[in-house]
Order: sequence, then C-alpha cells, then structure tokens
Amino acid sequence: MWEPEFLADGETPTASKINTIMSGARDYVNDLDRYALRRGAVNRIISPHIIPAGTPAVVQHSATSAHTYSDAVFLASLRYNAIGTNGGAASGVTNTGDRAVIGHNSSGGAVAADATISLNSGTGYTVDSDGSSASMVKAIYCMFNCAVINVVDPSENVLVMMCLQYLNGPTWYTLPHTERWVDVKTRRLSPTTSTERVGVDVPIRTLITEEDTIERGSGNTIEGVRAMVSLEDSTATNSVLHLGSFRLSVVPLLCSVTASRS
Amino acid sequence: MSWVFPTSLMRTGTVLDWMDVNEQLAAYASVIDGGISEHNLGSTVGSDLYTTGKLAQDVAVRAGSIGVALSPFTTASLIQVPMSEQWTAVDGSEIDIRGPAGMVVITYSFQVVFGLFDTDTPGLQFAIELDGSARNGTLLGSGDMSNDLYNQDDVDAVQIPTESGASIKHDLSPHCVEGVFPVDSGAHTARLLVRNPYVVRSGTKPEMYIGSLEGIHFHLWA
Repeated sequence: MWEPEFLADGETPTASKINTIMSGARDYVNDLDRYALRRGAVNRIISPHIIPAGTPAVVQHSATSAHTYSDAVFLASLRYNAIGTNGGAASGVTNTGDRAVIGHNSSGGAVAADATISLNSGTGYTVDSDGSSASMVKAIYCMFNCAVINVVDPSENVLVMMCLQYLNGPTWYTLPHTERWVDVKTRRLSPTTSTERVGVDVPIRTLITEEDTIERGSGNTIEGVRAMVSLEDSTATNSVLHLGSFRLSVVPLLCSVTASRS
Repeated sequence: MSWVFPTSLMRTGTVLDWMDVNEQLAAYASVIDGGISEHNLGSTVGSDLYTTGKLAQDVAVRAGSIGVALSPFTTASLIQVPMSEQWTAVDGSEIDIRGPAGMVVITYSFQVVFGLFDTDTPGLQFAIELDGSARNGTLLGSGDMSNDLYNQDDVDAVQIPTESGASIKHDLSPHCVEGVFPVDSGAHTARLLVRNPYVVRSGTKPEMYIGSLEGIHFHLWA
C-alpha cells in the first residue's frame, strides 16, 4: 500500500519536498499494473452442471421371471376407470384406485423393488418455471420400458394400460399424456390360445415440467415417480396379466425449459 | 472514482496549509489503493455483481416438451392419420428449436390406435422430420404386412426374414421414435411424420389414429 510522505506541520515547504511527494504519487500510479491481476486471472472454466448431485435414479427388474397381476388379487385397482385418474395401489398398501404400481409385491414375481423412485431422498425437486428454487431443477426426464408377456383371458379382448405418475404431497398424480395401451389378442397367432406369449415392449418417455403440475393442479415439487399398470376388461372376468422386465430411469435436469400441454 | 481529487485547487497567492494538502493526499491514496467505500458502490450494485438461485441464461441444455393426452376410446378426439403413401406431419407434433449451433436430441413417444379389433389394418411407418426433410435414420416400422406376427416361443416358425422391423398395424401399440441431429444456430422445426405404405384403395378403409403424444427435445451446445 502506498503511504504518501506527508509533510509535518511547520515543515518548510521546499520545491524538493513537494517534488518528492508528487514523484511518489506519479510512480505509484505508473506502477499500478505491477501488482494488478493478470487479465483473465480470476476466470476459470466452469463446466455447467446438467444434473444435481445424487442423480440419476434407476429401478429395474431384469430377471426372466414374470410378475402376475390378476383381477382376483388386485380387485378394482386393476380395472381402468378413466384417462388421468390419480392414485392407485402401491406395494404394501391396500389395493385402491384404478391402477397398480408395476412390480407390486402382490404380483408374486421375484421383483426386488417396484417401479417407484423417490427423488432427493423424498424431498423432491421443485420444477418452477424460472429455476429460482433452491434445487434449480426445471425438468425431470423419465424413461420407462416394460415387457408385456401376455394376458390370460380366453373370452375377450383385454387391453393393457401403462402410465407414469409423480408424487406431490400425499397424492400420486397421473401424467395423462403418458398413458399407453397395448392390445394382446390380435397379436396372437391363435386368438384362442390365451397362454401364448406375445412379448410387447411398452416404451414411455416424458419430461415432467411445471406445466404438468399446473395442468394437474398440484404443487410443483416432484417427490417421486412411479409406473402403473391397469386393464380395460369390460366383462370383469378374472383376467391375468403377466409382465416381464421393466426399467424406470429418472433424470432431474438443470436446464432452461419450454413446455406445452393440451 | 467518485472521490474528487484534489478537492480544491491552489491559486496564486494561496497560503499553503499542509494539513489540507495531507488530507487530500490521504484520500487520494485510499482511492488508489482500492479502499472501496460507500462512495464507490451503489446500494443495488451487489445484485448486479452476482446472482443467487437462478440459472444463467447460457445454460448448456435447453429442454422442451409438447404433449397431448387423448383417450383411445374417444376416437372423435384422436389425431387421424390420412390414407397416404406420402409422409404427413402428425398434428400437434411440431417442436420449435432456437439457439446456438450444437446438437438436438429429439424423442417422440406416442400411442397408435387403429379401429379397435379391426384385422384389416395396413402397416404404418414413422420418422422424424427436421427442417422440412424426413430423417430416414429414424424410420420406424417396415410396412411389411407379412412380418407382423411372431411367436415368442417359436420365432423361427413364423417370422419372415426380411431383415426389417415389424410393421405397425396392431389395434393399440405404443412407440418411440428418437434421433440425434447436428444443427446450425437459428430456428429449427421438428415434426413427427407418418405414412401408409400399403394404401387400401378400395373397400372399407381402416381408421388410423395417433392418440396421446409427447415430443421431447434436448438442445445441447459447447
């Protein structure tokens, strides 16, 4: 730090002393660059984070063993009601709603975990439109695939529905545009051979944004994601659905986002 | 520098007051040494120097999604597929992409609906269109009517070895079409295309629809 050579009170003001002071000031100004930061010295390459810490999350069932969903066990939770119906049966919970979580522990298969992912240890991510929340997550990309092995019901055409839901507060909200349907009977070589394996992949991709939460009337914190299954079974006979491998991947994204739902 | 130096100029005949000179020198020194005070910073400058809790405008990923939810049991509301051998854009599938040069990952996840339990349905093909041209690398569905049925327990007995995928002709089937494309800076448009290679030219024409649909894109740049 520069300390001017102050003149003492009563000191004789000679040209030499004044010149010394002014020379000091001149030299200091001229030497400002000596200790200055090099241009760009405080810059550093920052790789932008695309995902928050602790993600992505994956749950899967890759064994060859089938998991089974029968009307007799799942009751109404396997009887599709209407597009976008919220809620449904979760593992360890009484069967309710019109759809059941895939990999439910009542399915009798060797499924290690059902197709449910808890986000950020249950705290979730807030997908607000301007990213001003602490999580700064604006969208959650979900990828889901599941194999339909067959539906055993020789008397009718049973249709299989799968969809994704998100958790906000106590409610699992259905993302209605993710509802996907598979017919089984017309895929069989023999429509009367109800046990024939058809093996159909159901792929679902979605980007959960604040637009979805507005459309569903929920809060905009996404605490979890899960995959559901149901049957359209008009005569309510005891259909039995067999599913195979599934995989649900969820990737929260630090990004800017646009979305439009209708 | 908001501090004025010197605060006053000496004129001819001015009697030098060393205290005055020293105070001016001290103020000058403090400014030169970066002694920032309330005179240098406005009350709102802090929010201009740094941001808290908001994403920068130059984030490396822009994501977009368009979606429509349609019940397959209400055919009047579904998106009808025209009976045409030419590519046709699916209504509501348009994605607008704007930004710097980079790459775009595009995914369409959608439901195909034929007239339920109609066995005379022809196969469909799908592809992604980017900036007006169908990208053949994203082609989905062979349109091969002979390659639709296979028995998982006895594949060789029924599958026709055309080295092409199964055509899309079942009553209800969910699909995904995906692709990655380099793009220049500016505006781009992507759409989901559909065509019907085997057009039924006479008799009852099948009803073909697209149900629920979601188009997702990730725009990435360096």
